[in-house]
Amino acid sequence: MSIDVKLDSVSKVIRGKVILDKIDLEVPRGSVFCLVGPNGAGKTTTMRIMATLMRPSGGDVYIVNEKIDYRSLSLLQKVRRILTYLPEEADTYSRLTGLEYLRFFADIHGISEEDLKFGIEISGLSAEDLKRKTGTYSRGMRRRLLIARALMSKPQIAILDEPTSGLDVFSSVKVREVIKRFSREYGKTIILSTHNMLEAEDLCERIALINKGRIVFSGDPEEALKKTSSSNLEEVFVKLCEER
Amino acid sequence: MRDLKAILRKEILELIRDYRTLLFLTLMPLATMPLIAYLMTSLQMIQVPSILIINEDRSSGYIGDHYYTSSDIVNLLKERLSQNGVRTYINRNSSSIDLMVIIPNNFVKNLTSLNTQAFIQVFQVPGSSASDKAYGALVSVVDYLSRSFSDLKIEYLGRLAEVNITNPAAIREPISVGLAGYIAPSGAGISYEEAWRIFIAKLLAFSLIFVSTPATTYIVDSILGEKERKTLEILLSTPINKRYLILGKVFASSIVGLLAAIIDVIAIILFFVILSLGYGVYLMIDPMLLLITGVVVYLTTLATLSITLPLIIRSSTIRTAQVVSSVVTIVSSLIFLSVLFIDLYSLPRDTQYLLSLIPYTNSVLAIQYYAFGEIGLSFMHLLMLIGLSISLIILSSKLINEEKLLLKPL
Repeated sequence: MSIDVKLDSVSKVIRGKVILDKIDLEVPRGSVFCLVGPNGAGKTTTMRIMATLMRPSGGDVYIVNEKIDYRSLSLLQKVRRILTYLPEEADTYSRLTGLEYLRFFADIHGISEEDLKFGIEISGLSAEDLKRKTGTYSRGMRRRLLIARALMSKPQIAILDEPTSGLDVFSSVKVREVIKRFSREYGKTIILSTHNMLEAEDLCERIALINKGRIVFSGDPEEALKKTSSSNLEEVFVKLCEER
Repeated sequence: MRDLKAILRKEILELIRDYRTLLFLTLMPLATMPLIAYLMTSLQMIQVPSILIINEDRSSGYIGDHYYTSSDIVNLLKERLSQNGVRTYINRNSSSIDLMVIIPNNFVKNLTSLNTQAFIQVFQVPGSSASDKAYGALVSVVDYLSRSFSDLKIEYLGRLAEVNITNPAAIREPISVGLAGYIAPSGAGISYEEAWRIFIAKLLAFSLIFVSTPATTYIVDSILGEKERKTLEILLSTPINKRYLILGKVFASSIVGLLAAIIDVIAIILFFVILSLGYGVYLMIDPMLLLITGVVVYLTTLATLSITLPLIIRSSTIRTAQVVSSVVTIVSSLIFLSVLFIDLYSLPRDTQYLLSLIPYTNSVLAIQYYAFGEIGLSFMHLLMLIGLSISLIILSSKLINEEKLLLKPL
């Protein structure tokens, strides 16, 4: 089984505070991998390290078997060509239309018109909507556009930090459908973080539970349920976190 | 280069759709410069200075056959002051005066004597331009009266000495000074038109004081504004070349500067037209000088952007970045303001070289040397501006620390 992303004893200290404490993670190629944990557990920091935006204070990061040297700009550029990152708190350029927004990132990634059309399709936005400035969009529409931006280049690895954060039920369902379809049809690796256990149950083939900067579990959801004698992931999480 | 084109296109689209900023950018100089010109002329015209003359003198005297009393002198003063556009009151309080003149006792006695000087006491309203204008008019009138009385005394003494004096000024003022023409700092003679061009160049160099602020405001928003609007993190996570990211933002911001340059030049033309109409003087404007000024405005904007960029990149919030970049704006303002009082081109070489490390000195010298016809030196200072800007932009692209940019400020 190939591993697309590996974190080997990774630590991160920010302003004297230990955010991540020697975490080990392996994300198999082609899987939908969920990083779950409560607020402040270290999910976003982990995602940023994987996205090469933050340098770990200790340990090593491997992306597609290549050890990441954060001082090498050319290596970082090379890696960023095969992965995309959607932060939790991200927004669009309000003065650009939906189409201009997608085209801007299409130009940066150097992708074809066909891939741009793919992005338009997965955004689920109408031709009329795409002609309007994104500043006029609802939050759900902007989020779908952001996800389309992240997936349209068909990256080897898509890192999505809380993709359904702040969305209503209908928008969240639509977003999850896009993620599932993308994973199924293209066999790409998707790493997403969430504190919604139902979402994790719905989407993920493998999960890692993180609490206070430490991985408390990593493996299959079924394994987690069995290990803790739980009926759902929420119960698993509460039990494992309370132990700590 | 694809990255650079993409960033430029995005930045320009955002700029041209920011109608409010564009409106202020264009309206501000177009409104303020002509308004300044109007204020300088029209308000000065309707502001009539007033002088109160208090006559305490009861004396009288003779110069030769001419007999004078203090009333005669006061009336002479009043008549000439009126001709100079000053309202004069004698021994009577007005509701508002700009200058008080006291004719002390024995004034005429001293004035008509061959051995004493007459004194006038003047009291001025401090910090008042009307008072300064009134004082200037009074000095001019008193100078005229003083020369007239001198001439009378000289002619009288001539008659006593039986010497025929045809030109009292030869005794009163044996050496006089008058402006014969104009020269360049090199000593070469220059025409009246060239002299005007040099004078206008000084004002144009001063007008660069308006250039820095719009571009710095835009670049701060372009970088840190993206952080606050939550669009920066995605941009940093893409494979975009950071140097092109910075270049794209700088060039887009410099377009703001270019727009400011064009508007500035139009505003300056309006300024001079209104000024010339107001003073009834024909002011010549050299189109090439305006063009050079436009180029200098653009390059000054680029230099300002390149200086503030490293500071902005290391700032955590828009507010911090704006405070930091305002320091740069203050330095630029000091240099441009100094143009009115100091001739940068005639400073000692060592001092000039040191000051040339500040890009704004090069902006001023590029305009002024052009006006003097020193094209080579003007071009050299333009190249220095460009060189400094490029170096700082390259430095800035190396200073980007994505982690620092992403962390929330404390």
